[in-house]
Amino acid sequence: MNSLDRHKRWALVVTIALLLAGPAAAQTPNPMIEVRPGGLTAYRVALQRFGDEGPGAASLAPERLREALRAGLEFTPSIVTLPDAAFLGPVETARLHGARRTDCADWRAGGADILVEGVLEERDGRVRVRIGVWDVARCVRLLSERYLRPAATMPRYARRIADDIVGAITGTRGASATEIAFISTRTGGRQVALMDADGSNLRLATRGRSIKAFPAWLPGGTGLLYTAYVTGQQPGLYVAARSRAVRAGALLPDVLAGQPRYRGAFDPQGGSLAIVSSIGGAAELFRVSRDGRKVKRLTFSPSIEVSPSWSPDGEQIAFVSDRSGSPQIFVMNADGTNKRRLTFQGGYNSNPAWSPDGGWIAYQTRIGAQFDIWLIDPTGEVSFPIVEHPRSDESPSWSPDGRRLIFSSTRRGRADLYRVDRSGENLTRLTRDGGENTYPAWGPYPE
Amino acid sequence: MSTASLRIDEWVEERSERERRDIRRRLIASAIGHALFVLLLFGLPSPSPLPLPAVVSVDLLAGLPQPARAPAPTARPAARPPAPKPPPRPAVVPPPRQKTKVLPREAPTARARPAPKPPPLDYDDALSSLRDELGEAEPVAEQVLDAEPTAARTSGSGRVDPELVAWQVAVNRALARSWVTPTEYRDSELRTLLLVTVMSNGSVLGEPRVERSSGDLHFDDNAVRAVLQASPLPPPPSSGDWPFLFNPTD
Repeated sequence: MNSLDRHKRWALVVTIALLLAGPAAAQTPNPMIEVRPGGLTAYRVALQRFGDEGPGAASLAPERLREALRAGLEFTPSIVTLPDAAFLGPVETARLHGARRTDCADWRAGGADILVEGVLEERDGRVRVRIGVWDVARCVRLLSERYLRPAATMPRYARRIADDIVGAITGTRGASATEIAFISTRTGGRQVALMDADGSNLRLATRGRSIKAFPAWLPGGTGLLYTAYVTGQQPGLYVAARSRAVRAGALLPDVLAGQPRYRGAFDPQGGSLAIVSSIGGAAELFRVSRDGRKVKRLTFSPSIEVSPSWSPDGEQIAFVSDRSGSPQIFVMNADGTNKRRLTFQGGYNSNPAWSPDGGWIAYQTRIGAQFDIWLIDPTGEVSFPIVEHPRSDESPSWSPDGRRLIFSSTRRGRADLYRVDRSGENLTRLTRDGGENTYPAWGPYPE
Repeated sequence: MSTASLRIDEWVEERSERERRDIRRRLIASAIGHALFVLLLFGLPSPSPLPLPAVVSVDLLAGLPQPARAPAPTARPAARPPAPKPPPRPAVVPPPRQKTKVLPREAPTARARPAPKPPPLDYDDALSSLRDELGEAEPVAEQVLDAEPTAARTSGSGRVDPELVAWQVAVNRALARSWVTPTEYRDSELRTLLLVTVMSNGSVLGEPRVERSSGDLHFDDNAVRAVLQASPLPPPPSSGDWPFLFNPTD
């Protein structure tokens, strides 16, 4: 018996060892395949015409809503919509799918990466839109959302829906529903003007005879901050309200009273703002709390310090100083400590603009007799041009999604505003009809 | 009772003896069988010892590099197109277009194959035959993207498995049609490592598993989507799990 047990035990041990050793040896890892990108830079989106589920025909035609959505989606450089001819599935949404669908292969075969389906319904003058966004490769729903707006405003509101869809696809919300503030001379004086991100719907935001400069946005887009030069007064900071929660007029008139206030910039969180003022002649930077109770001087130098731009986390401020003999970009902590020079190339660098992701600072640099737009990383290690042209390109400002920059340029004689992708591609002129257009400030996402 | 019991004991003893012989025979047969199996799998002449944590870097999309047998990857700076035009500034060195921070690549190692097919082709031969098959012209020098993968593809003796190289080219070609890489990713340091189960006919089994996330879930999803969209892939040299590293830099 004992002998038998011993043999059985050995047999068991050997068999197990062989069973373990065999597969383990067979599982030699395959070598790694490194995949590099091809030329595909845009998601291919099949955008269905939304089905009308209302009791009667909606006053907003589904095709009109679809075109508004298409324009909003394609505002983002990495989105293209497919033509109906490419659809292997239905052009119109018959019904919204739940958490599952079985026709993903059809959409894949049609060349789509993403499918957008939706239905609309109009009741009492309000349109309810429900959408579903599908990754047809994995056949999973990325977004299910509903929106309710007055019928008259829905086509414009469609941009926000499109921006949400872009966010679901790419991880970064689109910016088609944002606006751009700038200084325009189209009415003779220098006023703050506004336009939509695609260059449409241009209108003035200020009136009066004073000269306006340096428009900036209040957090959340609730108002515009700008500098006004009123005859007989020091330059001051003013607010044009876009919300009832914001008071229009002079901003914190008691702060730095009697001193010029050349320019202001709210931190991204809205708790404080950086102000350019001057004591004893040279411009210096101050940090002021939103209620005006705390004022802290950030720079102490006989040189000029101007053009503050906050990092997206509100921890640092980029600015321009000529303490080294020529205007250069510097960075400091938001409490004024740890000042360090960022740019060492070029004899005149100014107008820094910190990117929304914090990774880059755009600025203008003088090349010969004109300016180009360059980017530099906040450590100062890497810099390169985004826009180069024999004429001057100035005052860059980032779109809130960080995909684009807007700047003013004299490349066609008078100053116009141009938009360019962060890659330096797709340069587009946005202002066309009269006057000089300068100091663009791309607004935040609407609340 | 006792007689019966004795008989049973004898019978048991006799049976155990039979069983012992039987087990011994089966054990020997089993051991020989397994030994043969292991020998067949790995014991035949192999170009390198087993098992290597094989990592072969691949970059074959935009044209196949010409100077494949370069002894050291020194061609990188020269091979890259000159990054942005330097402005006419005095005493200024033009900066590189892209961030210079690059993740360290894993050390290239040769892939262990059980039986190299004679006669072995060298790298240029493999690429030439592949180009012939694809009807492609010789790539121009400007198309060379990166010298490191070139070095990685070659073993210490400068030999590679042409079948593997061909598959890598074909896979990159297939994924180029399905992997969406928006320009904002092009100079990023994001890398996603997927483990893709590829059947012998090239079809992808199930959903690729994210072995190492880039930290950006949308970037990871893009890679997974690209593989699923491209399925079936070209038939692999061997079915099984293949690690795919998605690197968005040009």
